Amino acid sequence: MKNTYYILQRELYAYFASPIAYVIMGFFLAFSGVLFSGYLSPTSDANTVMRQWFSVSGFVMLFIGALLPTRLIAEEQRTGTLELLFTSPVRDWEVVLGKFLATVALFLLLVVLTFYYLVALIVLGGQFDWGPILTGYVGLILLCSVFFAIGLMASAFTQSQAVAAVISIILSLFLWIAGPLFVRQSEDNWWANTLNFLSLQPHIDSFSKGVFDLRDIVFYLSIITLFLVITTQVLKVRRAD
Amino acid sequence: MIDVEKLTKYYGQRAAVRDVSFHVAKGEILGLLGPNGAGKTTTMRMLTGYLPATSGDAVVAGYNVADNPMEVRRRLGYLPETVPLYTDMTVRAYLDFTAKLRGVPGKGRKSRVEEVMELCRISEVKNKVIAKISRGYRQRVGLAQAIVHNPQVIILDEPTVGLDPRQIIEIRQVIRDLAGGHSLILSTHILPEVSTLCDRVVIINRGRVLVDKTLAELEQQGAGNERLRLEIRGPAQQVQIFLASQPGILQIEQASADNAESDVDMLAREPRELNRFMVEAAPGIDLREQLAKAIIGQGWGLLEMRTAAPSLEEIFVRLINTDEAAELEDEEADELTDEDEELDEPEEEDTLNFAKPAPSFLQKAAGEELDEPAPTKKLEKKDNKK
Repeated sequence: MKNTYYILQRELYAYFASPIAYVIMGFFLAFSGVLFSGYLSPTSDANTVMRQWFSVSGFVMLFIGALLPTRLIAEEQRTGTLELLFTSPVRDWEVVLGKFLATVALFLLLVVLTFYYLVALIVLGGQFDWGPILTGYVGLILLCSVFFAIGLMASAFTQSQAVAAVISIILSLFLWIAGPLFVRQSEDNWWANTLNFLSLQPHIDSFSKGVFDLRDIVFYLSIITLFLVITTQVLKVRRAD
Repeated sequence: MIDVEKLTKYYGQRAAVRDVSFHVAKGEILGLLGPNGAGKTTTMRMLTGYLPATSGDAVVAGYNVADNPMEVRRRLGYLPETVPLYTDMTVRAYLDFTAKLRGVPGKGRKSRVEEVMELCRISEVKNKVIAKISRGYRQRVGLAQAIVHNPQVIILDEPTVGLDPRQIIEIRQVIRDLAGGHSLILSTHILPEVSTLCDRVVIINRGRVLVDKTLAELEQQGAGNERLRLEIRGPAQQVQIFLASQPGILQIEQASADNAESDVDMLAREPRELNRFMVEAAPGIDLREQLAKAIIGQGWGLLEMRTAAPSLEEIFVRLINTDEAAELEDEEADELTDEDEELDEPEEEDTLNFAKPAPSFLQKAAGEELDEPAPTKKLEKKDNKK
């Protein structure tokens, strides 16, 4: 576990040593800020504004969030530093987990920076029901973590960050809307239910309504674990030949 | 300290390493030698646990690599062929990170990193970002990360590749300083490196061990007859006949007749031939004095005479060539006995791989000694006789 922390430390260092962290954070804040101000209107209450903001932020992160973790493994495969990690007394999963958590940590920092929306709403005289705000943030973090796990997996497949980012976006997009896209509302058979269940989007709804549904949390965590395990296995297989 | 037993690695149908066995004692420096593509890197990667072996056993520092990879890695320092550097970090931060990963305890870590930077002579760049330092420094930073946790076993994959002569000398010095407390495996295709650094040599070709000997043994093996290199101005045929008549001489070989007569000679219209000979005498007989007198007595010009001890290069090339010839025979035999297997043999790739590197590193490593084609020519003959 200590090793995971060392890897996390190094990846955070790397994020801020290159312009990537600043560019992506800046872009996200600018873009989501514009959307936020768009949702502001004299008639809407504070919670509605934030709810709309949460749902669109997740979608924005699907695209730009893919650029964060895809560098992590692809780049190391290209430069050969993965050989350093995998000949050190560090387990494969510790490397993968460390890299994943570094990205999540970076995103948490980004989330903290968005708290000024809340401050702005209070200053403007908004009244908050804090429950949905809290669950909304938790949902956003879980959702983006899924994107990061997918990005990391894509990164393990290739040496090129660009290729990894494309794979990551396509896969995330598919998972995001597979259910709503392919299944009509009224349909009720096994494959429609499965597809709906596997889609990321339906699971986010309860969070934005202020409900902590354990099933949704378990769902997100399972998906994340699944992708991280695949990442570890891909690395193992790619190394062997 | 390192025990390798029948280590084998297949990539698909192709065997990159076949039944490689060797042993490295504590404090010993082993040179792993071979042409490009011989399987050196694959062997080393299996020792580090980076690549799983198809079969066979490797025990490093008392632990089996397959069963206890973490214990092995804790006791092992490895410098891959491409130096694994995070170019966005400073030298010090990078070494601190690698020290943490290798489990150097927090208390002595800082001083250990300083110590290693001192040892590898990189202290003057410790606060520079790795992307900004020169290749020579990078290579030494790579070496520093391999030894930062004071491992019992150090594996270096071509540590001097791509460095200039001064840097090579510096890095060799560092490696020599390391020996003693550590067991070291060093792969290279630069032969002088082996003679200056290593106690023992394992030569690998086509994924198999050809030779496993101490340096002295290897040189002795190549020694054989005394050989003299002569450059004589005089009519070739007569000189040769004369030489053959001298007592003690076993064999005479005329090297390429030097047709590049100087302009002065052309003007004088005097056919003065410049001839090179390689003369072999029985071991232990020094013919030089007697031969020099005799040649001059004949009125010919003796321009050069020197003993030609077979260099490591010659021994190496001979070994590889013999192995290559054996491979051809093998393949012919395979064709006769088993037609299916012949399909699996990637023979074209093999010959391409091995035909080329030999001359190239001859030129690189041996320089002037090898611009005369005579010795190789002769070696080939000898091989065929065998």
